[in-house]
Amino acid sequence: MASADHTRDPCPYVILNDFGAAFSMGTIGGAIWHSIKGWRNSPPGEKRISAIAAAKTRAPVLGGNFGVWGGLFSTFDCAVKGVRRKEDPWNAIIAGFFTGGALAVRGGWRATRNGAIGCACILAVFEGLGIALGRMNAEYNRPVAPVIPDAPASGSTSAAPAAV
Amino acid sequence: SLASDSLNKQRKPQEEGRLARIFKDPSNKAWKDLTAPQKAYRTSANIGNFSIVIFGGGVFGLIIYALVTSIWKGEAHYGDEAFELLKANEECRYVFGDHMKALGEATHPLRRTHGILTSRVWDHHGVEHLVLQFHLIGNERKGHVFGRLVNVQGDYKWEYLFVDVANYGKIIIFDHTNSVRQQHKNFGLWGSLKNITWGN
Repeated sequence: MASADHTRDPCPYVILNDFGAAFSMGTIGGAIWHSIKGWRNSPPGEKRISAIAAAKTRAPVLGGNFGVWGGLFSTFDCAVKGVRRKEDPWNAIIAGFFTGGALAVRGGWRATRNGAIGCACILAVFEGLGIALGRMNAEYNRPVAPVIPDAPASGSTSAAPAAV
Repeated sequence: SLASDSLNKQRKPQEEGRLARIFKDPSNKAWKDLTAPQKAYRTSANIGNFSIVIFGGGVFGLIIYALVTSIWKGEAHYGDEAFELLKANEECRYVFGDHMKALGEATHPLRRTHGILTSRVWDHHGVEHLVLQFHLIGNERKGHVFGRLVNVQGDYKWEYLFVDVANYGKIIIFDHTNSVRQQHKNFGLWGSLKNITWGN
């Protein structure tokens, strides 16, 4: 029974969690990216200060972009879960569809459609990757049937004999 | 900008090494105008590029295959089917209430859940089983669902499905494994063991 006590729908709170995770991911990655870019794009003698300046101005912007994506995705994911009341790969794909569409909606009808379809495809690939990795993991943990030394294993279907 | 333009003007095109002069194939030349080493170079470059493309396509195909087989007669399909079976069950509806939802496992209560937990296991006969578990939250109670399917010649068949309800007990939706029946057969009066052969 104790197992059921951990059960809790994370849904409204997980939006804040995902927003924060995406924001910090974007900020850290943006700091690395833009400091290198600022270092390379400035003349000798100003490299250090311009690297810091570039990171300070641009890393929070990238973090904000990531955060908006993550928060919006999580919001749509929760909405889809609330409607469908079950969890399968479709949730993420539908949420990705709406996220891509919502982020591109200022670009017009065509941009919205293309963004929605593209984002749904990316999320579908992520979901497929997760499933494929899970299956590979199961395959690695596949038990090998032990070989009994004296009796020849005639009916055994195991391909590889186990090491003794 | 102007500064970089002036820098670029002063720079001469770099002298290429001897190996490059022999092997490098000019992209504007047709295949018949190339020398033998240049042909070899172009062939190997093409083979390398193609193999990367084919590798990428293979990985992509594998991912799409995993997704499609999971949704259509795979992990995700039977997870949904388990939820439908639970919703259709009278006792479940009475215990959980009409408003049920299926929730996967997460590493933390506030973190994202990752779908219905499924895994493939192989028993000692080498038969594949699909094991799945998820949390069922109703407006009355919460429960933990366990199910297992067996792969019979490429087709999954349900073995058992039950839900462990908090402060209530287990609701067994069905159990097609004969483990329980086998146990009853082996227990005699007052739980004594029957049908036991002590060697021959």
